[in-house]
Amino acid sequence: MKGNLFFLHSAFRVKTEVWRALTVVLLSLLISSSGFAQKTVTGTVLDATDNSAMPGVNVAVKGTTSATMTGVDGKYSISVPNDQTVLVFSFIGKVSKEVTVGTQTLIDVSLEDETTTLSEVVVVGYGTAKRKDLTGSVASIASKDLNPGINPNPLQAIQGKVAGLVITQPSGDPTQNPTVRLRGYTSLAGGSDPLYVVDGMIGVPINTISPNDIETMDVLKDASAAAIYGSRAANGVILITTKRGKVGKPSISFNNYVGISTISKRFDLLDGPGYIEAVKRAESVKENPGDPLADGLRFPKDANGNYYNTDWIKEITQKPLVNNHDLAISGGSQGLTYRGSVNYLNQEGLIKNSGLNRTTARINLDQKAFDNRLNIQYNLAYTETLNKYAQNGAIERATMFLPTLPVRNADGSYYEVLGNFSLFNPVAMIENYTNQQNKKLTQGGLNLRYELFDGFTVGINGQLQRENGVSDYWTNPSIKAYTGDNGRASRSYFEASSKLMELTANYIKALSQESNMAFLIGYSYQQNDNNGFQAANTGFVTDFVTINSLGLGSGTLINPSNNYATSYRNQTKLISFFGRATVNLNDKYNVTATLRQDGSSKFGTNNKWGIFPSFGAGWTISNEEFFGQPTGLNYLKLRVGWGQTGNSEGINPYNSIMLYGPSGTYYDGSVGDFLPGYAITQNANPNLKWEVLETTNIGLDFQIASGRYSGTIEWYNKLTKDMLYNYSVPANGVDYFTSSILANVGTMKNSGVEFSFGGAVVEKPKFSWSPQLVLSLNRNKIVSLSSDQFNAGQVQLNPFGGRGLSDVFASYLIPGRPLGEFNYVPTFAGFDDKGVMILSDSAATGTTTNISQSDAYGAMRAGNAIAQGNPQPFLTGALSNTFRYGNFDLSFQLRGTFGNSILNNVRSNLMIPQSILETNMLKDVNTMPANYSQNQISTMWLESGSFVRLDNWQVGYNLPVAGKTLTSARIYFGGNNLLILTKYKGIDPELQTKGDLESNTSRRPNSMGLDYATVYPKTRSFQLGVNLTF
Amino acid sequence: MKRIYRILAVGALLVSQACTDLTEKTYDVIPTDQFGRTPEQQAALIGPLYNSVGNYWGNLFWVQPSTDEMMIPTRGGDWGDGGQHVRMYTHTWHPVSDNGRFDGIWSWIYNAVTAINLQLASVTEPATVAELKALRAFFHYVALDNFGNAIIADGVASGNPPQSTSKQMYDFVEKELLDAYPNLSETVGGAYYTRFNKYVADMILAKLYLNAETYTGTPQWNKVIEHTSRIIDSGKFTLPSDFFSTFSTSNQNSPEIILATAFDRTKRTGFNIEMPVLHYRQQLEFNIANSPWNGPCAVPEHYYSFTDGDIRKNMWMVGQRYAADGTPLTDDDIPLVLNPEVPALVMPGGADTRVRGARAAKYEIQRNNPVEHQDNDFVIYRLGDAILMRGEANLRLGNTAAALTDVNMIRERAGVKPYTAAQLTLDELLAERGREMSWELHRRQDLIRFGKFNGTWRFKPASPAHTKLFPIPPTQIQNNPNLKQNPGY
Repeated sequence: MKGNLFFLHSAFRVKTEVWRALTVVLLSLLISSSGFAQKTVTGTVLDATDNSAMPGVNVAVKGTTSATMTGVDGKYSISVPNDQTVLVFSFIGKVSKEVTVGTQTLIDVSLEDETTTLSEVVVVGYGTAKRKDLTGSVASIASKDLNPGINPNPLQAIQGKVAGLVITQPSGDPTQNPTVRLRGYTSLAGGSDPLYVVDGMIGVPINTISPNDIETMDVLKDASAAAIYGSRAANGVILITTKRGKVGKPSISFNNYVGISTISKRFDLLDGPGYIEAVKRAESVKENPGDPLADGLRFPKDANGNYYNTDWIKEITQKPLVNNHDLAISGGSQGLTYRGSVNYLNQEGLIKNSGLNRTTARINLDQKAFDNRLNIQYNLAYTETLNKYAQNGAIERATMFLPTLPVRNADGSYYEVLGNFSLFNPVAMIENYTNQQNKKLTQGGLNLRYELFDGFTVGINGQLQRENGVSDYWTNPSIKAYTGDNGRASRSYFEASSKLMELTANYIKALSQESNMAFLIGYSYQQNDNNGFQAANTGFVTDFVTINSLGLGSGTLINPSNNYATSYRNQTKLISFFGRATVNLNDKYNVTATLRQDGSSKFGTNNKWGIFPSFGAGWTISNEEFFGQPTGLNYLKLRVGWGQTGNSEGINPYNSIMLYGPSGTYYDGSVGDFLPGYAITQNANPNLKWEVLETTNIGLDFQIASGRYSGTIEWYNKLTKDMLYNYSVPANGVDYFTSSILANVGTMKNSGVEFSFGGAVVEKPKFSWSPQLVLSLNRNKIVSLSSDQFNAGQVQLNPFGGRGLSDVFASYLIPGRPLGEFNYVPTFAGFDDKGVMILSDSAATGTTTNISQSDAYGAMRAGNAIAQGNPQPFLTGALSNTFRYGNFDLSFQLRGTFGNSILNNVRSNLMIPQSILETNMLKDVNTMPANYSQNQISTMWLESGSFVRLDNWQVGYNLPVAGKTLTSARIYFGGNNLLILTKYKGIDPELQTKGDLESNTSRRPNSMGLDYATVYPKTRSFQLGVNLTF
Repeated sequence: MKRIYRILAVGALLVSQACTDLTEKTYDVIPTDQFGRTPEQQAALIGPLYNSVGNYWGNLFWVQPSTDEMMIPTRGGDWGDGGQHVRMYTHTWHPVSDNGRFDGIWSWIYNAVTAINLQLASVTEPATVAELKALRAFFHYVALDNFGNAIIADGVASGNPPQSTSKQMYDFVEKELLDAYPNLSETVGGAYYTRFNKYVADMILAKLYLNAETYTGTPQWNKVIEHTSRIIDSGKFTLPSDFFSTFSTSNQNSPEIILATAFDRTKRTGFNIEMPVLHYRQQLEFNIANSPWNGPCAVPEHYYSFTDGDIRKNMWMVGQRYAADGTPLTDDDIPLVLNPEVPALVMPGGADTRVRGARAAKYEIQRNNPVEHQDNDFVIYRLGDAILMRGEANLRLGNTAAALTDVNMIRERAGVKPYTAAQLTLDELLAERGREMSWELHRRQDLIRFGKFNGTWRFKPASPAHTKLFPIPPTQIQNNPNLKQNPGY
């Protein structure tokens, strides 16, 4: 076995080697599972509720294909290989039962009603609850339900699993975190990412966790559930529980996969000959056609006198491999259980010189003592990540650099078009660039609970986390694209540490068999410290040392500046008191109330403390007498919740106070040189506080067909009040120093409906099919951006980029409209005979070629902007499916987004016949008027962004093993992004959708629904893996 | 058991001590009460107030295409920029569409004023107070010139000051400068280079009086003569024989400079005039870090107004351009010959479009520059301007002989024939100012004073009178209910 493992751990470079390795593994598995001795077992299966005989129950020998069914009388007979055999009795709506045969030959069993989803324990923050008792909106994903495929980030593993939790992977860049938005866009500057809580530690970077270590992920969606996390809970809380050891002999599991990816879709760019033809076409319509092909710079010839034909996308991409190896050992005795795991991931990037390399190690220990009254959980995790960041500029340049140019000159130097504004050799950019970060995260702590007397438990949770990282950056100044950087090399270091201490007390009292009440009070203290520095230099005469010997640069001596060495340090504290009361009566009525008081050092002196209340109530209608037993519907519960949560992550330390900070340099004639200046760098806001999100949630949980199908419908209304944003301030010369102030002013509204439904459509002994559907609708609206004191002013977003398009934006922030709405895009009306784009004019009756007189500009000036599209989808949804046939299983997920618009800024820049000598163009350039030359924003570039994607798929085979050592073995083949159905003409309609601000001091939200050529292309990947448990 | 209680007790203690302490511990920022005590700290606060003056060029350069000396034609796919340059050139800017441009100017002015007011609240030393008040008056003067009905902010306060009329703004600037005057330094250069001394105050006052009729309806020509004479007759400034030495990369030594803002390519960046102006391929001519942007050029008639032999005509780059190694440059398949003739405000794409327009190199283009910014200091006021202003005032007062002396002093340095009394008309004087002060950001004010701003020139139709003032930025009106939009917008 050892030899095989060694094989697995070595990096596979060639596909055939992968196959060979697997063959070896499989053979060794088959050898270990030999030796059968038959005997026959018989018995009767009864329904535990009424002791009636159960026909049609599946009786299977675990780990094999051998199975049978009970007859009409509930009797069965099956032959089993040996005494160690385990029989599995399963039936829809009943809890499956496993019985070890031993010496028995007659085995009678009774099956209990399946209430798994209802009796399932859900993590709710500072405790757990049974799903049937929940009043808030909580979605749970167990490890078995995580998405298959290559998903190094836990967020990718739950993409599409939770209604309302929209997870977007906006590119194929392995170093990029997915964007998570829960139930719409609730904030501009307050921060929009959910709060991550991992085993009781608040604020763990989600990308440091290996999905293999995750036992469950619980998503607290509404205020009733999340308010216990107070001022940081507005974007939802994602609680991650890692796997822990179980009492028993050591169990060792290996999970390994390798994968390979290709570019999922390419820009349909002109190739060399196509480009030459398009150049001729553009030239032919000129008044005095010249001979552009005579330009040796753009049309060089090789030694044989032929034009070059270079595929620049191909030159900068590779077929990246991914290796993932995971080893976990768990077990323990009654007093102490353990689980340790190591995960290694190496994911090459599609773009050369980019990728992700991550190693994580985790140890979880559980200690019990004093008759299990004392429970201590220890956890220690370490993650080391190397991010090699792609040169996104080179991706854009690869779409622009001419296909008629060679990569290199005859002398080996890179081919460049000097003195040209747009043409830069992308291969040179990628090969002469360093941008990487090596991060280390250590997180550990202990969580102690002691039951002082029956039902009363006190707890201490202490956690410590420290992340540090070193970033290196360098560009070679001899490369045309980088000359302006002057060879700047920098190394920066950051350190972020967080200390968390929580004290809790819990009291649970059973009132009757079906009634209980519980109380929780707690105190929490968290302190975050950040510091870092950077050293840099420029002007190296050799590219041999650069970052590694910064003193050898000449920049500090001949181009002095005060940015060669910089540092920072800050600290924040959050202190909280919280409590929760829960009453569950007669399995019918549930009431939950929570209250959290948060005090943050970041808030202004007038608003240091905030209170976040929530109330929730549940009514299990199906347990009422009057409900009876209607056919089909067997469970129905109504949940209503209201609460307030806060959002404060977007507030940086020291934002509320008036400060002196750096203000450039000034000339001091007495020294004859420049000195650093100081100035007020921000407007003080002593009233600065958290943003308040008020949520009302109404949910209906139901089960039909004897629990075979279950689902939830939820309606919510979320109102963001005191919305944080960098509001404009009057520049009036008397009380404001900069143009904006971080303040709590506006209002934003999101409302929507969520639907999730799933179950076992087919459940036969040999075949089963369980689909799960989630759908969510959301409506977003900016309600207000002003108060009597502050006003957002004129805020433009969604810059429509390209040559000749400075200060051209597709959107304004407008109260009453959705965030990001395309409301400054003139209506396309054709082309005139000079190739100029015609737009509808501001009277909306005629046309114009002057954008200043277009409908969109006129309407904006008149104060009634025209809505041309919404980058936010009307509907998002996913359908996941699991099939099982014998020992084979198949799962796949379709995920879709509907009703959103995309402004295709890539296409607009690569469809200009008269600019063809400036950049390469898409093949579709030939569909444009040959004399079109003025790049223009219009609805011509607006497209539907709806899509359905086959996100992931996996076919697995469980090897029938019953060896003494190997307890389960599974091989699988799968992948991600196999196909996408969309009318969108760009590479991929799933774009970055952050909607938060470009920077902390910016007033401009990040673009939404704009496609740019700098986007790292998505990949289609294939995966081959094996899971072994000993 | 006991251990548990002990842990709980320690925990409880921690709670009681830590639970209420939420004061921010600052590390990398300085609370305002911890700074400004020592002279060095005060200098480090007052210095950056001048740094704001350094943004004069960056903010006002882009509104110069509203004049007859600069245009930014649309060159095929380049420089359309949402129609903003066409609107600027044809005086069809709109408060909403061009909010960003005008709000940039407004915010620059008044954020600088707030910072000055904050220091004025604590500084008591008379010379420093006078200097800061003069600086504050300068920003008010810029607000007056661009927006007319702006704000007078004469100290830190809370709440928006009322809107003032042009006349009130004018009175405030005049009073502040005259009050400050006695305590201002007479030192020129050295420690006072880039700072406000008596002569800078004289120059601002002279500009104020020169345009007094625009601002208040009442001309003040005699006061122009008085204050320009204080500068000219001080003997502290001279016209260097080399006209271009005042604009070189080491122009801090020019004896002509009255007020400049200091730039350095790395220590104080922001002066990058080569980037918008040069043709893309002129990167190779000057061997500079990045390819320039090929935008603003001379309105052809402005270029034509320079006679051959006028030294100042050398500010224009026209004709064949050469790479640094002497090889002639081409653009696509045509020679790179900069052509001063511009056939249309919006031109179709192509190499022929790109080479259109004379490019300004009045400010020396720094060769072999590894970064995008240059070392030239930007000259706001200089002696040549003061001399022409005095000449204009004299001419308007009928003192033609005195006017001739001044104007011909300028023409002599430029290497062109002196004017005769008959030749020196007001129109001719405006043209001469155009040649001497070309692209130094004075043209808009000059055209308005001469009543020509709303007239016509190539591709520019007559414009309504209200465009003499820029609109108050809507973002400001939304945040300051005291502000009313300028009439006509």
